[in-house]
Amino acid sequence: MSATDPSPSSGTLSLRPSFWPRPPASDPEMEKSYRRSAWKDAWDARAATFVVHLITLALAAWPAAVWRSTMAAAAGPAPLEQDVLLDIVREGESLGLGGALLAFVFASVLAMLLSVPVQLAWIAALAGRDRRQCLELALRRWPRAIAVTLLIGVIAALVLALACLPAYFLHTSYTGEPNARTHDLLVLAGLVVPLLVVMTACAWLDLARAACIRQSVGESLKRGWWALKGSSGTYTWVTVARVGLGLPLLMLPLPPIALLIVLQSSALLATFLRSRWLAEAWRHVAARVSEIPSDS
Amino acid sequence: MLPRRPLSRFAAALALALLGPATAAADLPDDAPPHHYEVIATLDPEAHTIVGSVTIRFTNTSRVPLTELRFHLYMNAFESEETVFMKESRSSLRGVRARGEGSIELETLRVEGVDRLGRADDELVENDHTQLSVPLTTAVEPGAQIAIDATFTTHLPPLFARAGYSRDFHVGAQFFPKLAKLEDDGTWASFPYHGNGEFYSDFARYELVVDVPEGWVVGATGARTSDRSEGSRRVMRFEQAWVHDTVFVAAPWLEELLGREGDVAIRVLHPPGYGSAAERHLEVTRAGLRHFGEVLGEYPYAQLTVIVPPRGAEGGAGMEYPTLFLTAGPWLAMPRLPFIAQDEVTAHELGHQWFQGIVATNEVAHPMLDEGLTEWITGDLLHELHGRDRSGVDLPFLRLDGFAIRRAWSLGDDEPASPPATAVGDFRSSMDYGRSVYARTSTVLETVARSWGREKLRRTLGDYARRHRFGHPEPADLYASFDRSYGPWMSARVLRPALEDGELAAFRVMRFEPGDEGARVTVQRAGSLPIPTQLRVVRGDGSVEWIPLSGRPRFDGTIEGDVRSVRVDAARNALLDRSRLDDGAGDRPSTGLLARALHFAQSLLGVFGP
Ligand SMILES: [Zn+2]
Repeated sequence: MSATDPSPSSGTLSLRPSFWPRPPASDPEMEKSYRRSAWKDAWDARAATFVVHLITLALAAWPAAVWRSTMAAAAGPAPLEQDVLLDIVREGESLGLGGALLAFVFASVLAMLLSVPVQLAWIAALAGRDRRQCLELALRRWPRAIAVTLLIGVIAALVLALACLPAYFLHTSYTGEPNARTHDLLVLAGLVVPLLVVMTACAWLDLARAACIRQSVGESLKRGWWALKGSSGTYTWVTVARVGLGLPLLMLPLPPIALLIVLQSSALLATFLRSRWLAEAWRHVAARVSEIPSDS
Repeated sequence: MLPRRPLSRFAAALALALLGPATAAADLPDDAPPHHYEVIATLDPEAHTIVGSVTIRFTNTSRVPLTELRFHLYMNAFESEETVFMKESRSSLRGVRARGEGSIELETLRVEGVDRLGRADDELVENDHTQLSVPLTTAVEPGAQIAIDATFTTHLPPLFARAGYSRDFHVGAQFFPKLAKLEDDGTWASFPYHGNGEFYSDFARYELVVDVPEGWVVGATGARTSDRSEGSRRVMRFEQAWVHDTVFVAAPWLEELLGREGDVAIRVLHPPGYGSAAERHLEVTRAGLRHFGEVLGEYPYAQLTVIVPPRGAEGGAGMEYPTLFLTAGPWLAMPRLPFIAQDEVTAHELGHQWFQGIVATNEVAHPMLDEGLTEWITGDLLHELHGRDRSGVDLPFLRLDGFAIRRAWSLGDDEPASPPATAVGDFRSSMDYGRSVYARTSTVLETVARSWGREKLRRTLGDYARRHRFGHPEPADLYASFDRSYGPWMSARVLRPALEDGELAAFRVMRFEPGDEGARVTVQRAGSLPIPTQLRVVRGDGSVEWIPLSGRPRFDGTIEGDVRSVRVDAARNALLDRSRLDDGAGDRPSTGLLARALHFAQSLLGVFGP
């Protein structure tokens, strides 16, 4: 199998600039095997995944407890429906709903700060490292992962700005058109591209963070980018599944205990699916590293 | 009760073909109205002007000889920032800002063929030229008729307040010189054009000739009696007796959906792409014609035109005229969002066909008889269509009572709003006006409906609407209908305090001390309104008891047994309570709030987390 330098297939237009190294060829059989192994990796690292789940649970518990007590104090023994709910919204300011919102903002900031080291340790655990190595890697690679995050953030922001232009031009050129349906559907269609950009950037970020456990910043960006091709399918279905397990379940008409069990199980499942994705991400970027024989 | 399915376009067209055009008006007075207008309007869609003429046959219906005529020249409200309209509305109405100027120029004005323009005074209020006083040399005796004719050019403003244009969509409303309302004592009920109230006129026969470019579509007041091409122009004539205004809407791209309810031919004109929304507007219109007809007396005209304005024309949206209204809403039908999408606006503007159209009150002096009553019957129709608890939002996972939304709207912030029985010019702001006239009036009436029976309130409003059909009643006439139905205490103890003084009826559980002997409970009532209510008592064994509370200001007593919780007005009948958060005490049934809050926070943090 000669996969090092696939000759450019005739007639294929390549947008790759000349300074950007040619990606190693992808091997569909290998990618299939990554997907199979990722399930096993994720299951083997379930203890670490559970710890990660507990960390986010703890972060979420704070604003949730504030919300609950604020709402409960406001509503007294009234069922939370109809005009009672409207009164809480109406009197929200004096009831301290602002404080509850603030709690959420703080929890989000904390989650963002923690996310880089926690994710590094998590990926290391999914790659089969022991607990000590995981913590050590998380601390050692933290600055590198931050650099990767910032660079991808800047690139994504620039591309996103460009990607929004078609939607913006569609909006301006169809404003005033009596058929508002045409305007709305075209703008909606125009927003598909920015959505793809955001999803691509998020997948790239995960892949590059996985790579930076072993590689330099530049190398991580490159390998993460290359790995996108084989892994974007997994990223997409995992993301869709996690969204489905999230907010849409909030309105389930279940009795309180059953509701708690269902919602917490779905949250745990969502965390596990993310671990499954990160395990595959690791396999993809690790496979591009020279020590794995693809070009020898 | 859910509305019947609308006729499809084909079926509607077939029905029209089979039944023929609408026959004579259903339920109009036999005699001709005392006044007659013929308005000829030529629209220049490039310059956004209407060049026109008006011929009026006017009868002195008062008891005294008339020495003055009073006209409204309402388009002059838009000629500068200094007019009453612009100052009151601070150049913005219902969230839409003024973007340009409009005016009406009178070129000639003759009474019995003699020019009177030179003697006329159009600045009755400083800097405001929306009224015109024309002194007469010879008095018009009671019962005598005179002929008036005028020519004018109206410059339509960009559409921000009812009349004007948005690109090629034109609303010709209040665009011609029109006489003010003549009262029985010979005074003119004349006022400058206000942001929040414009209507008060005599019934007349209106003939409107609209001249637009060929290919344009026009909706207008009345029945279309002729439609012909003249070169590159299309000229249509519309006629209607027993209305107090005439109006037209024109655009080149309007599409048509036809329907029928009983004897009434319904024509929905909508922008392209709005087909599904138009079906819903038609469905609500048909349900409304049935419901309002039953409650308030039959819709008396043979046709009704519903205009769905395009995006960008919000300034003209949600506006009622005789036999025609402009509704509002998105292009996609959303029948499950009655308060937000199509249902509320269409029901409301249709309701105005009765409260303002047929029962033609003075909107500027008594906006509550116009907008307030209309808002209640709107909510009543949505209650019929969706059920009480789903009449605001009707989603599988979220339901809101439409009157709970109106109640929250009426309470607003803590500052007391002006009472509903306030004249338009005396409200502190547009917000105050909306909260009071629309939201408070309708929640007062809904509290009456829920406390003393919905059917009884419908019969009462039906009595008022039927007695004053084609009349110009005052608040006292409304109170009289209520007193006939409920007894004289109703206006003295409920309506006047609530509508004239802004009185509320609030409850609060002040004390709840459960013990072995039973629970000591104190319920405090604030406000003088004698709204009957009940205390719901839930005991440890799950049993529920309802204890009626009389109109006393305070209930203080011991309730026997293992009382777990109490709640006053648990049925949510009294909508005049400032806060419902203090209406109960004791155990609260768990609602899974923590589980939901936790999952909500987890899902959101999943976006920022590892
Ligand atoms: Zn209205």
